[in-house]
Amino acid sequence: MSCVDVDDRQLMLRVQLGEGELFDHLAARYRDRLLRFAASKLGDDARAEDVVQETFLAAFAARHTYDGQFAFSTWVWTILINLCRREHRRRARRPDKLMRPALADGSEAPMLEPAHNETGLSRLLLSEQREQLEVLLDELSDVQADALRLRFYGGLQYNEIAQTMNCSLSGAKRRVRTGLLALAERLGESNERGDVP
Amino acid sequence: MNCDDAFDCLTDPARRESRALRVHLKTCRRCAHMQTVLEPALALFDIPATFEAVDDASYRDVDQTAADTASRKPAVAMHDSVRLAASAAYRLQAASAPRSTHWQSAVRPALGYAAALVIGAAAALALFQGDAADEQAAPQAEPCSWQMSRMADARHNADVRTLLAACIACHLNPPAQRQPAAEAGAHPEFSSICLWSQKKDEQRDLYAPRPAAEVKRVVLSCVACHVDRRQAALPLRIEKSTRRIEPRCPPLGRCDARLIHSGNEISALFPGECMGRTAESRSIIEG
Repeated sequence: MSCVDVDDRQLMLRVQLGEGELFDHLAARYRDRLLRFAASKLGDDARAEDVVQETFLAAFAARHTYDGQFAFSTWVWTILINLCRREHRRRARRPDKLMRPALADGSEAPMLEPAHNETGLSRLLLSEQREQLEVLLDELSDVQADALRLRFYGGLQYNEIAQTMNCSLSGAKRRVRTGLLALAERLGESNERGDVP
Repeated sequence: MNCDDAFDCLTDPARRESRALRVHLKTCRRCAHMQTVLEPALALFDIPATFEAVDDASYRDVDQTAADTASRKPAVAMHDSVRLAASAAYRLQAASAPRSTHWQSAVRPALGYAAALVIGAAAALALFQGDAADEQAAPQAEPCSWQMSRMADARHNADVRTLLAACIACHLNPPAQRQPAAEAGAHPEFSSICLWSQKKDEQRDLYAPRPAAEVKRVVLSCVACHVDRRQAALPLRIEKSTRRIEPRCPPLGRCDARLIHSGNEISALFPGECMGRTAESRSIIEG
């Protein structure tokens, strides 16, 4: 059965009525974006996978609480962002030594990187650029960084960001604007120091 | 395009090169300056997503890690996640509800009572007509206000028996025999508005099995309100004698009001007087 033309709300209502297998279609629509957000926020691809999986499981288990009055996308983003924060708090209490495990010889194990059809050099540059972005995002306040991730990784509209972050529309825009300005400023400082790749 | 729209476009990769934005930037120095300042930061986000264009084989290790972790994940953690999801749904639901103005706040209760009186009168009329025409037919439910507000499309098909079947399918059967409401012959939409799943108390385990006796009281109370009144045409008298509902709550509003203000106390929700007139109701459920 093709569900390409069926919107999220319709799919979710059908899931509520017992067509549980349709939830896979919903998950497929959001998986990559959620993963990108979570990986950026948590700095760990495997943990991001866990959290995204948990997000979908929680949404499915709590499917009866979904209401067609609000967007499924907003709901699933809200769940993810809260689970990421919870994961953050857990790690703050119990630093995870396995995040980037050291090898027996003392060197740092490479992060798991998916394969790409890129040349070695472009891959390296992209990797460094990503790393720089994540470092800069980490320096921002949580709300600014999350707003930026939702906007650029999640592709959310500002009203969706506002609902997900439980703030006003103008507040969502302000967070993105001030976040971008702060990023640009830090980027300028990095350029002056010459530590930009 | 105004400056606000321009900022939307600037931060939207799909519209950043749009003609409308270019035109605006030519005429608005403030936005043009903003674009110049933000450009380096925006460029940082133009990186292809890490997780895109990844073939399954190269990603297998990560998937395996997640699967292993999920299988080890304690039930408590998962339970917290479900609670969190439910809590998010309630917050979004509340945020999506139209906000009333001061004028609406003042007038709405009066309108509510007036509407309820009209509905009540219509229901009473239908009751007497229905009794005469179809005495042996299955009782047709009056849409309770809870259903009306949440399931506007389904209310015309509301049927007490299907509602109760949904309750029973989820809560009354022993766990081994528990089955989805739809399979039990219940109207599937009612399973999604089950009051247990809708409770807003985060501290309560939404998915824990209920003691059968406790749930049964609730179900019997539903019948007492919705079925007895249809079949026996006595309820108004009984309600007056209880002095609990009638003066302030129109018949169709009482379930809703009690659910909202109830907390977890079933006995507070459904007082004994209400439970007391369930002899006929029991036969409906158990027979």
